Amino acid sequence: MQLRIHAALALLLVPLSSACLVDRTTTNVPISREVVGTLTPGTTTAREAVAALGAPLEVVQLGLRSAYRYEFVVSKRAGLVLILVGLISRDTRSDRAWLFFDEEDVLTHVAATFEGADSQYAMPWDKVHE
Amino acid sequence: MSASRHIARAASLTLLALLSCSSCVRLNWNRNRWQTPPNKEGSAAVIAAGAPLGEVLSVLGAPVAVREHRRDSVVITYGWDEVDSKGVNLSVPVSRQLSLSLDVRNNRTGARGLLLFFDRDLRLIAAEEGWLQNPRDGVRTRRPSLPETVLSTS
Repeated sequence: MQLRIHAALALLLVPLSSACLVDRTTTNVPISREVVGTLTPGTTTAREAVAALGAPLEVVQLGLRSAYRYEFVVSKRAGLVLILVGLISRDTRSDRAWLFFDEEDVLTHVAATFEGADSQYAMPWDKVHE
Repeated sequence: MSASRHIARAASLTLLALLSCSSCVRLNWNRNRWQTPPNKEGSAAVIAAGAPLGEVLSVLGAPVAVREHRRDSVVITYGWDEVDSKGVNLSVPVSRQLSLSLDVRNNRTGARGLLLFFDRDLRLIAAEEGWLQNPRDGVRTRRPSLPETVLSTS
């Protein structure tokens, strides 16, 4: 009987003594792989690129040239907060696109990386992206 | 009462005591991962070849930052990081209005980075890998200035 009472007390303590958290944060809107694929170096102008992808997050002047940055960031966080131990892990990845224009505002280079979807919920000891 | 029951009871009481002083000591383990490093073989190949910008971008993907470096030259930055932070937080209630806390942990800010420098013809001329205080900057950036047409008329 006494053992059952102890067990019940221990079970009551469990929900009071621990918490877990899972959250996902995104910044900006996803970049369309298809739209980026339609941009053609030597042909597409800055005006056409902005019409297709929207306003860039950043415009960098490179002498007479320029570069536009588009980025969609995904951050996933998982944690376990026990009475005496707190374990929290965050994994941040992004979809990025850089468009390079010459002095005539014609596209010269496109660079795109799509890793936002690879962001993972994990514990600190987990080995991700390996 | 047998010795084993004494031990079990002592262990239970110890556990309860630890639980009841939960706000006193906490061990923290945080891991923060940001982006992924560029492909090692790919970066070594383009650096060795002094590749043009287009080839570098197709091999390594989009950098995290692009900046002008000197006049008409460009530097692109690939940044990534994985911070493993372990620490202890000690909190001691002194009175109803006062509580002392101490947080000790190994921690740092910044990120690893690979900087690739291009000449005015956008050909790779130098590379540097190291520690970035601000991954978006990479190198000292130029101060924004007014266009020459505006300056000449003012």
